[in-house]
Amino acid sequence: MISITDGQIYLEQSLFNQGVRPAITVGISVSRVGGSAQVKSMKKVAGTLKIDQAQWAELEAFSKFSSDVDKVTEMALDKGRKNNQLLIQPQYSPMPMGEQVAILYCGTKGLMRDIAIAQVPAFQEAFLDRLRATHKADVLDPLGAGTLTPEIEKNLTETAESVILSLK
Amino acid sequence: MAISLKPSEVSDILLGQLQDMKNDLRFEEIGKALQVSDGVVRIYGLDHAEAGELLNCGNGVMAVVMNLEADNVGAVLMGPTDLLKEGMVVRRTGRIASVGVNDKVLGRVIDPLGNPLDGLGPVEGEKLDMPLERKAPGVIFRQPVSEPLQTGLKAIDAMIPIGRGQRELIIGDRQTGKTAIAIDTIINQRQAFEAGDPVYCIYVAIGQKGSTVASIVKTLREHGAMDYTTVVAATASDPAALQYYAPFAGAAIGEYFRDTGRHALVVYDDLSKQAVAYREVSLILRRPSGREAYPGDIFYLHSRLLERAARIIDQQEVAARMNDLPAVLKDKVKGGGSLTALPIIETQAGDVSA
Repeated sequence: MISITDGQIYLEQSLFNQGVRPAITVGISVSRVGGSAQVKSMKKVAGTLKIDQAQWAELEAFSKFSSDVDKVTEMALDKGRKNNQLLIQPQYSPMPMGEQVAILYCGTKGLMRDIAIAQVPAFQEAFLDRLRATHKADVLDPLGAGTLTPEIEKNLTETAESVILSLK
Repeated sequence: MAISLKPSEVSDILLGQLQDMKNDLRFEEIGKALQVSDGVVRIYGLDHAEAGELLNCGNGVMAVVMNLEADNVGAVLMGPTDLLKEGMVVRRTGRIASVGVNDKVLGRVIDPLGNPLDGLGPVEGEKLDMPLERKAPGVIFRQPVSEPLQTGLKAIDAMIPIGRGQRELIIGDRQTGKTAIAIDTIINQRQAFEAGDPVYCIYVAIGQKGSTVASIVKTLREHGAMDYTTVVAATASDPAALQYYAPFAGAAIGEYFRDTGRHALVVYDDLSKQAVAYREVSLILRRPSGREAYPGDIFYLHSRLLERAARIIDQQEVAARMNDLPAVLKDKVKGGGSLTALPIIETQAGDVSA
C-alpha cells in the first residue's frame, strides 16, 4: 500500500498512550511531494524540524540508559521535549497557518529555553493571544500568506520574551 | 331481434384501434437468475452484458456485472439478497454503474449509488452521472503538486506537508486517532471555504457502525463543515458490494469537482474494510485467492482508486481533451482542479506490509 501513495502518516499506539496526539511517528512518516507545496514561511521556520525531532526521539530513547549527560546533549533533549510538547494538539481545534508558523518559530529558534516543559501549553496560549491582540495584521497575516521578514522575526522574538517574563 | 350494425361504425373503431397500435419493436435483453448466493447472482442468457454494467433484478434490487463467463454472468447485488429468487427475470439497463452528482450533494449523506440516507428527501437539481469505475487521467493531463492543502495540524503542516492532488496514506493500529486526523483536516477547510477558495470534502465511510457515521456527521455539522462536505456511507450492515463500491463513488464525486476546475479532498475510511468486502465478493464469485485469501488484484484495486487523485493541468485546451471523460462532462471541463486523497489503513499490531 505504501508504495502506491505519495507518502504516509504513521500513527503509533504507544505515542498515543503517552499523550502525544496526533500520535505521529516522525521517523517513518513522509510526504514525497508536499514539500514543494508548503507555505514559504513554514518551510523557512520548520525546515529542519522533522529531522531534529526524529533525532531527538532516538536520543531520548538512548538517554534512558545513562543518568549523566553532558550539557550540549541536555540542551538538545530539552529542546526536543519542548518541541514535542508544542506539536501536541487537541482534537477539533485546527490552527490557522500564521499561528502555526509563529508558535513553531519559538520552538525551532529555542526561544522557550527558560520555561519549564509543563509551561509549554500555557506559553503557547498566552503567546498566540498576545499576537492576535497586537500583531494580527503585521505578523500573523503575512506569515499565513508565506512571508517572513527580519522585522516579523523581531516582533516574534520580542513578544515571546515578554510573554515568558509574564509567565514567571 | 336483429342487431343493426353499421359497417362504417365498426370500421371506424377498428381504424382507431389500429392507429394507436405501437408496432415499433423494442428489444430488451433479459436473463434468468440461475443461482442466488450471499450477495452474488449468476444469470443465464445475458449474452451481451458488459463488465461493470448495472442490471435490474426486479423488486428494486440492482446488481453490477463482475464476472463474464462462457455460459453465465456473475453479478454482485447492491441490495438485500433475500428479495431475489431463482428463475427471476434480470434486465440489462445499458448503463455503467454510476453515481448522480451535482453541487447539491454537498451537505448530504448518501449511499454509493447516490440515494440519500439522511432523510432530507432526494438530492435536488439535475444530476450528472459520474461512472464509479473510470480510468485515471493520463500523464499529460497532470501537473506537479504546487498548492498546499492545510490540515490545521501543526505536526503535519510543519513536518509532513500535504499538497493539493497528493495521496497521503494515514496508517496505524486501531484507536490511534486516524479518523481524528482526517476529520480535523475536513474541519480546517472551513477557512478556505470562507476565503472563497473552497476545497470540497468527501468523507467515505466503509464498513463502519451506523452510530459511528452518525456521530461523525454530527461533529462535522457542529463545526460548520457540512456546508462543503458530502458523506458517502456504506455501513457494516450493507451488502459487501456496496462497501466495495463506496470508495469508487467517493472518487467519482471528487472527480466531478476536479474536472470542473475545483479542488476536492476525499477521505477513504478505511480501505482495509473495503479490501475485506472485495475479498468476500471475490471468494463467492470463485475467483482464485492469494495471501490471506485476498484475490490477486487487491493491489490493483487500491492503486487504480488512488491514481484517480490528481492535479489537473491548468492549460484549458489540454485539459479539455482528458482521457475517459464521461459524456455528460464534455462541455463542462475546466483545468487546474485537483483531487487529494487521504486513504486510511488499519494495521494489526504495527504490521505495515499489508
